[in-house]
Amino acid sequence: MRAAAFPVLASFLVAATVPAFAQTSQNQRDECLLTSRNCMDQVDDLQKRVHKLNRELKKGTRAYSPDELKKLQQKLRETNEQLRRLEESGGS
Amino acid sequence: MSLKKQILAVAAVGALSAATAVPAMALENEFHGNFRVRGILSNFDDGGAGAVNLNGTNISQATGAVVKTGEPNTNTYIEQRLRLMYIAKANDNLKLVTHFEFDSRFGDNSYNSNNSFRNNGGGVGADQTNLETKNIYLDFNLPSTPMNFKVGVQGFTDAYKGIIFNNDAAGVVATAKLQNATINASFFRFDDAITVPANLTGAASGYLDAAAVGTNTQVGNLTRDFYNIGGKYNVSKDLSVGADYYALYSDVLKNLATPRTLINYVGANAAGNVGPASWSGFFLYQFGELGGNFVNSAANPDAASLAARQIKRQSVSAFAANLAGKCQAGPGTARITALYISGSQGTGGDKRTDFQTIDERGATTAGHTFFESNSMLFFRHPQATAGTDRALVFDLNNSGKGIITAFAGYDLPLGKAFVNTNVGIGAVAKDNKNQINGMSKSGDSNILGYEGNVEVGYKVFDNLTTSLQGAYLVLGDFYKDAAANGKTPDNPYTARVVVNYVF
Repeated sequence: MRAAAFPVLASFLVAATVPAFAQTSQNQRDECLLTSRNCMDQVDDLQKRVHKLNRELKKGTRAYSPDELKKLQQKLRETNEQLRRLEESGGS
Repeated sequence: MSLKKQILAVAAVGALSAATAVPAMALENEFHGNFRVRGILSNFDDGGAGAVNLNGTNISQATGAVVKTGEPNTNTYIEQRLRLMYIAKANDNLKLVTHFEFDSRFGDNSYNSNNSFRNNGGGVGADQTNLETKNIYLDFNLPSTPMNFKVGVQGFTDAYKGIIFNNDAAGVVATAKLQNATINASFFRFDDAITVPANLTGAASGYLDAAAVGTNTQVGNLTRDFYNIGGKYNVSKDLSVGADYYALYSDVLKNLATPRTLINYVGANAAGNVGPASWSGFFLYQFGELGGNFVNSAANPDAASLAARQIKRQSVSAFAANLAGKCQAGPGTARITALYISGSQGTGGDKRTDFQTIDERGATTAGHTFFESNSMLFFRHPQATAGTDRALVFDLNNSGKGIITAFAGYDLPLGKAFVNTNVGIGAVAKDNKNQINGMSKSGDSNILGYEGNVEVGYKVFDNLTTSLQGAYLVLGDFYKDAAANGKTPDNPYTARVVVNYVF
């Protein structure tokens, strides 16, 4: 019994540490490959990040502590600044 | 296997698994960018940068002869810009930011065959070496402190809407975020060029020639540096105030035993909300000395040639002020902004009252902007792409004349569509004998002109916008009969089709 427990536990641990390969089962479509959706390693584009940050900020203290809200606000400022830097001329 | 050994083996596998599964150790690779194409029809935009020369000529394509002066040809062309940003983010406290740029005009050049590299590559065959490195800097927070540092070549915008500096440069910016306050200190090295002459400020550039500029033969010897220390305090959620000190120090002329340049800026700014409206404004006082300028001597007060002038120190006392407001009005937003940049009756005497602006090294490109106006012709436009970056007043110093300007606009969102309109007026603050736009004042008025512009756009996707822009500038009496042929130059106009993708 004890001898059988080891490989089961080990395989469970190994499986849990490889999320990138465990995204889709045999019957699931790979939406990331097909339509660039549901990618585990994707980075949001800047507009989407602004949308998400605004959405989370609206939840306010119901979901976040005051410090966390400040951090989100800071990230929103940084993202808007990134957008501005990309789009504005200056130093051309 | 004994139970003890099994437990040890499981622990070892667990530890190994945990070690390989810690996402915090992974590097997050972020790519962002902006791709923009502009189709342009204009007698103003011409694929070049700088203040527009209203003496632009109408040239016969058949003979190459000048047909009319002050009546420039209509230009039609398409250009594109890609900005690509790669961020190597170790965690929320540490990232390396890199930013690249690729510009070209359709059909311009390929294979580097015109010996140009940047801002080219749209010619048949393409394959141009045209990658520009815009930014490379490290952005990190100091653990257990409120300090953030940005070190390297980076974009920097002053706290005064960019009229001092809004550009890229190599430097260090330190920022401390406290409870309701932000304190920052910056240092930038604008010039440390070996053998290449480095200019001082925009205003001074007109008084320098290659023979007068010292040659920097030792790294760190003749430099142009920029310093800033300042802060901002949020009094309440509806009011913030700030104060800053900036300095532009340049000793590029010291090898000629002429004085150095030190321009000091002391400024205060504020922003707030009142009901549905928001407002912001600033006041900047500038004082210091311009070194190594050619100044007319007492013996030759109106000397035109550099040889007849003296090289001496000029003291500067100048100011700039701004007030702007924005308010929800009906379905859209109404905007208004006004800017005053002081001018000088003359720029050749011992004392100057024109606001000294900062240029890039070549002194043909302003290192500052006033994008708040939303002007498309009067001032530089934030969507300037590739080679096209024209303006009636490109450098806010405006050849020592300064500027008084006001712009008002209305932004109307219509679902996925939008309409933005602006009207504005501009005049020189003080006239002097210096030329602007290729000509001297001829009429009685200081009014430079009246601009109207409109942008109608549609968001095809969240991050893809297409728009039509049109702008027309009615020249003021400042330019009456001022063209080289004694006539009044044509009014500038531009029409642009823009496709803009940001990700």
